Amino acid sequence: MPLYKGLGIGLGTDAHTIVLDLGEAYSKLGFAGEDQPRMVIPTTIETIDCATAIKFTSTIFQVVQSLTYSKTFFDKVFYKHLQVNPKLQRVIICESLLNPTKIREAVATVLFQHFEVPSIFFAPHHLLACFTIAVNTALVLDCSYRETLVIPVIENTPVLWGWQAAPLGAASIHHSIMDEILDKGKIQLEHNPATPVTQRLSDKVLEDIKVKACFVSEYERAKKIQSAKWSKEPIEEILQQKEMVYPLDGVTRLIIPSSIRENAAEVLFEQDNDQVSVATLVLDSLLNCPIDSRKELARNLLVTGGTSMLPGFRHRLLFELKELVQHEERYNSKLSECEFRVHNPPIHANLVGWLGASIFATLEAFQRKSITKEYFNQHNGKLPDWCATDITPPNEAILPPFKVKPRLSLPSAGTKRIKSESHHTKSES
Amino acid sequence: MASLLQVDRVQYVFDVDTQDSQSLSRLYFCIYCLGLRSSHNLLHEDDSHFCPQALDSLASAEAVSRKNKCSNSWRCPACLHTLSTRATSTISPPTTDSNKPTVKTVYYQSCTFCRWSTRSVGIDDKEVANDAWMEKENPSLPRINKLLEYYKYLEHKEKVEQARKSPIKKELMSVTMQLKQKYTSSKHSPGKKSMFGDSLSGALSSLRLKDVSSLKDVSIDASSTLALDDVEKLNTDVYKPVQFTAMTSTAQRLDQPGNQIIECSDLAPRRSQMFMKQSLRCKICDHNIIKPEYSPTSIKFKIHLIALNHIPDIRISKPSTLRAGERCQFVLSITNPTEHVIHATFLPMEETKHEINAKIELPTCDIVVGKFDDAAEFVDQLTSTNNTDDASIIAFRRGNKVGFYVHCTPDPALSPGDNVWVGMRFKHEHYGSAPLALLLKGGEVEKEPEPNWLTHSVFINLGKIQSSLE
Repeated sequence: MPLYKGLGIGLGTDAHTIVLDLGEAYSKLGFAGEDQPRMVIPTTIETIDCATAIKFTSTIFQVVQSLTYSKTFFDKVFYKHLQVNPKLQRVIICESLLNPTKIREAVATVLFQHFEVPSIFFAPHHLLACFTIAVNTALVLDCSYRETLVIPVIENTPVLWGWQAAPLGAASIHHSIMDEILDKGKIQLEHNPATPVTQRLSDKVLEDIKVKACFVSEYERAKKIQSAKWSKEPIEEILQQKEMVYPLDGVTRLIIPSSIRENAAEVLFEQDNDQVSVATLVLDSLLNCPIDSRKELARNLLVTGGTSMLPGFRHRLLFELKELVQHEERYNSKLSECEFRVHNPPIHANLVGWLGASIFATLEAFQRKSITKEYFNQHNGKLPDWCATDITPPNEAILPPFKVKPRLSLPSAGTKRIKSESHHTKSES
Repeated sequence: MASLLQVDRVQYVFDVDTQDSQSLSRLYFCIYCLGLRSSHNLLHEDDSHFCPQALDSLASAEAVSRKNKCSNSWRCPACLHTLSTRATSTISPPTTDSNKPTVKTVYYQSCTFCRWSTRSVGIDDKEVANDAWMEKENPSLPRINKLLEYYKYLEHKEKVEQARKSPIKKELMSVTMQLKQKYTSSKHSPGKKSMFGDSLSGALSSLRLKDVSSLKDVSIDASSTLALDDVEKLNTDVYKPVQFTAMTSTAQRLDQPGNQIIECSDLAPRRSQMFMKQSLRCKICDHNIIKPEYSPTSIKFKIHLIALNHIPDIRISKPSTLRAGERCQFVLSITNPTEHVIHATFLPMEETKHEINAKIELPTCDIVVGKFDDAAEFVDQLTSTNNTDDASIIAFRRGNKVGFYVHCTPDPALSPGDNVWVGMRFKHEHYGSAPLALLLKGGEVEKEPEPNWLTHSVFINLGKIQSSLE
């Protein structure tokens, strides 16, 4: 049986390309050309004491330690969940454009040297997301675990100078849930009287409370909540329940105020001291874009990332955008003509990047542009990147000099007309 | 179990260069190149896929196309445990044909772990035990297939246009055309069609790029966009009291990535995931280290070279309280798994990358460790005691296990709660491999095996520094 292996599944067939989207909280694993990932697993590895989270996207990153951790993690990915031999499969990794080079290189080192994969392709999340909605120009907002990142994509080219990011995401929602529980929550052990919560709850419990109970309230109501926060005036209750009981385990119960449900997600939309919220990120990003593309971008808003799946998120975002453009001086003068429309991708928001990678990996351009093991070794373990000027990406090295393409454009979706335009927009700004 | 036995306290170095270390119970021993191996530096090979519940077995290529899912076994969507099929009989009301009510056997699935069942969510009972259950498809599958088709078409169109423009490619194409004409026609004998020629030209024409005219146009509408008024508003249902037990957890939602179910009442049985039988191979000598039997019903191994069967196991036998800068006494034990008496010699650790923060005083003489004997536990303990042992070194002796004293002085700079790590090397003779390797190859066993001397580096976590008040 194993003797014949490798004959059928050659490198030429793209059906078994491994598609990975390594998120901060959850990793999506699957194969190219499929409509959904095979598995979505937490990006953690288990040790004897507890589940230790390994992070691919955080900036605090100890490379040495993470090499052992990522070996264990990818062991789990390839052998347990995907059940393939990584030596025979190409890999595409969907990542944020702001992912530190050290992390990409660490991941590439583990995959090439330890798992001996034939080739890897690192693709920007925001560009891949556009593949799922079949448009060339979109303003992509990724609201993930730790941060919200907005990058405009114009004619299949991520416009990096338009990026806007803020540490608003699932982590900040968990934080505000925890704060409110520490403030007002109580713990009850069997029939004993309830006592105030003194210890922090685990992230898992907070996440569970968030996905089961929390939602993003509508704009007008949210404004009342925000003003009540400062004036300490009580607001009228819509929620039909004062307190809710969350079962922590068989004997302990957590009694928490229902107001958590609508207050927790407010952290994404109330502007902080720098006047930054998820909505202002979108508008600030638009202001950085070329004037002639702004209307088009505003019409093609694409919201991705797991945190954006909270009920009411998209409605609130559009409402905020409308109100900000109407009433705030900094946007009113420049963006008043924009009409905001949000896309409806064919898959849940947390999987949009993965699906884009799955579509892209079926194309031949993916094979051409992939970084092979030989290329990686030739360049002493360095990867081509938009911020690295000393390495030429594999495809451009082969092309004759008169045919240099814009660096971040993937050629697959472009026709002749589109390409000439993309040069145009780039040179103008 | 693992934390009870504290197997991670003693780490054996398996990679001399990187000083990577792991517990002996997780390591393998290559009897051909006489070295410790970890799953990190062995070659993984997938042998077969199998379902532990239905005991199905599949070749890997087939398993990939079936998405690694078993066709006969189902698992619970709530707790991911295997579902068991339950049979029950129902009485259907009398029909016009017969006046008596008929008794029918119907089947439903239920989870023995969390008590979830298909009846609890209102899925009808089936009249067939298996196969009648369906998994939900991704509702947007047609749209995604359309997207895939569209992007393939775009790429193809672009390629054809490029080929038309570039003079180099045109030349190349004409060369292949010429070659094809030359070779296919010359082999063609008149009146008799050459199979070879036909198949070659067929292969070549499929390699050639199709003309734009022959390309089927694929057009796609960009996905719909929603303005503020179209976007789904917050449902007023959210203001109702929340039922934590009626909502699915994140793990349950992500279990079905295509349709992430929010309410528990929508859960449906899922096909259970298959597992993979892997064999491991030494990268240096290319011999198999672990090879399971193919049959899914068998849990045996054809080749099973785990380190615990070959290498003496060192454990902490009797801990003591550790204080910074104070000398203390420990009892370590060494267990000999082989059928030969071995002599273990302890050596100090040389330079290492591993963090070591205590000095260790090791026994200066050899320690003789008795051989492993299946019957040893039935023999009276007293008869096996050896009076020649130096009581200042040997703490106890029980069959193939010997306890010995070591002394350790943690660094004075350590503070309470810090882990104390010591390093040492030990040397022992190893007999088993040559005859075993010969046996595996089918040769004859030599009468007097020659021992090999093996040296291992070991790191031991002796415990945490106690505060001086205790």
